[in-house]
Amino acid sequence: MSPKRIFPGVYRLESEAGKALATMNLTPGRRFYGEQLVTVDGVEYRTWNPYRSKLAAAIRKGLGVMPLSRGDKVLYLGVASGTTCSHVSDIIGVGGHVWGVDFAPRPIRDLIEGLAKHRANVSPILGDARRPRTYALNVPKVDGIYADVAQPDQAGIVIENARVFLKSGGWAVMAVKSRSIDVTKAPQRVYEAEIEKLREGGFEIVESLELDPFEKDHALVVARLKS
Amino acid sequence: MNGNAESGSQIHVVETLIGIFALTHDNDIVERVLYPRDAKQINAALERHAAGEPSKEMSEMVEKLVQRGFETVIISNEHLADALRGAGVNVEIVEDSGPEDFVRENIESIAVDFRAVEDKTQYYALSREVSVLRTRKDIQKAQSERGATIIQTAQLLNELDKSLNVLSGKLREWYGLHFPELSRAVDDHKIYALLVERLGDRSNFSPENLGELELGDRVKGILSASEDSMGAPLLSEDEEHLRSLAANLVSLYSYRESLEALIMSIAEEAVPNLSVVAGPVLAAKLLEKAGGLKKLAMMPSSTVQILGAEKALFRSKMTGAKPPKHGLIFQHPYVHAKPRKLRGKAARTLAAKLSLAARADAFTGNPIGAELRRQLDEDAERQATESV
Ligand SMILES: C[S@@+](CC[C@H](N)C(=O)[O-])C[C@H]1O[C@@H](n2cnc3c(N)ncnc32)[C@H](O)[C@@H]1O
Repeated sequence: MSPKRIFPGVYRLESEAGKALATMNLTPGRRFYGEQLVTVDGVEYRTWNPYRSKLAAAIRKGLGVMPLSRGDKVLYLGVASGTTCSHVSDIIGVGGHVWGVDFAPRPIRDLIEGLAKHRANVSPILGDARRPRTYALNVPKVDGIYADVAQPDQAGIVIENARVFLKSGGWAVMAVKSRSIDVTKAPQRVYEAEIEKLREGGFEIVESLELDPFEKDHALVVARLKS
Repeated sequence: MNGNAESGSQIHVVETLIGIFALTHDNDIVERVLYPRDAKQINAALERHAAGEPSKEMSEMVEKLVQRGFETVIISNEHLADALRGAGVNVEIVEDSGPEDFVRENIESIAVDFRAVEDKTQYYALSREVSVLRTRKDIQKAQSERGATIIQTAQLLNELDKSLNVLSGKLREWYGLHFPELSRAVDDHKIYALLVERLGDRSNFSPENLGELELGDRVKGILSASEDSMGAPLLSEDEEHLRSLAANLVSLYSYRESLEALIMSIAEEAVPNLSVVAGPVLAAKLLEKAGGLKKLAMMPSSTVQILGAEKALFRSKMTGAKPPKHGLIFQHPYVHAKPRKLRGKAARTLAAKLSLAARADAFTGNPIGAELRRQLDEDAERQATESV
């Protein structure tokens, strides 16, 4: 019954109802997108649905190393209304900070009203991930970049942002959608091409996981900027 | 060490959230001008720079640098160039600047060292406050740009509706010579056009053919109308033209649907509060009539109430007839579902809520629409039960 710690800040809850991934709720009593709040031994957790979040899916698919850790500063590209971001915020804790960028006004407004208003470690930014200079003033050097922008040039976007924001030795997590990049190629080849681009951009690939059945035609790539 | 020796030399200028810094090539901070510790003022300065104008702090920095004999500043942040030139120095833009990287990498400690903030936590709190403020403004700007699209599409929808009405009337008139009873049996213009397009001559109005069109319980009425029609025979040349006109109408009606869907999605994005209270299509029409969100937001709600009833208002002024109680907002169920004698009051209540919603969309971005809508719905329900 007691939560099993899988990575720092990430737990597996077990109960009669079944198993669930969860993070410790930084803002007890508050939920953000329909996740469940579960209290064990006086500690409140928020369940983390692998069908709603690619990082959770990757954990369920056997992620070996968790790049995120407590206290990290994170640049999140394609944050949308903050579903995954809310768990990132839980994991990095009060000492960390996440800057969430999205170019669509609607989800960013939801991010402000839903998440950022209640969490001191989340800053919203309306901006285009392809133009990192436009938000350079609001974001300092970061420990990691999480990219989920569903754009044809994912790897290019990560590399550009890394040049402006990523500390040397910093990590990058990139969701690759095989379809949005090239419909005609087999998924594996699309992933490999993106991975190759990251390598050329100065990253070392740590691991890469396909996310089915949680997320079809998607892979999550974890990389580290060579120092 | 600075003094005259550096006459004519160059200096790096770096913009940050806490102020403006001037550094030598070896990352020596030689000058600084800090912003007040206030997100609003910081944001205002950053906005000026982005617009190519110097802020007070920027002018002060440039003055200091010129006094020290620096003639050219080096930046890697292109958008500062105009503001700096405006403040009176030469500008050189470089791709990567070591000093800028240095500042960015050490910004929290620099902020603490120069007492811009007490500690690192406070730096992040300030930075977040600036981000929220700026993002709220950016969202509003993006929304008002979308607002311009709404006005165009609402106008188009309006024109389209007029044309569709005229053309549908023409179709009914002409085809009615052949099958006068159909007009009564089918009052929906799109379905009428669809029937003419697909079936043409009245003799094709068979149960099988009608069955394929998925018209539900309308079929019976249409069939009985066709059975003993008093209409004249249809010449094949006329049939061809009528079917082609009908086909065009059907496709225009589909286009109309897509236009309406577009208006809905933009309105929900651009004027979320107004869309919830008015419904997206009425929201778009109100914006169009008012000439934009800002204008709508600044109108007294008594004007919003009769927006679109300008003719009636004019008439009442000229002839002393009763002034109109409602304009466009009559289309809202909260008004038109009411008994006639309660509509004036309903229109006033609704207009007041619409004004609040428009102001929230235009100025604060606060999500108040759902609550306003809930009040209207509750009120409508209460009245409905009371009047039973
Ligand atoms: C798949 S969704 C992200 C979901 C989110 N990461 C989560 O798990 O909660 C992709 C997001 O990327 C945003 N996006 C796409 N292109 C972008 C760009 N060039 N700059 C910023 N955001 C972008 C879209 O608006 C969308 O919200």
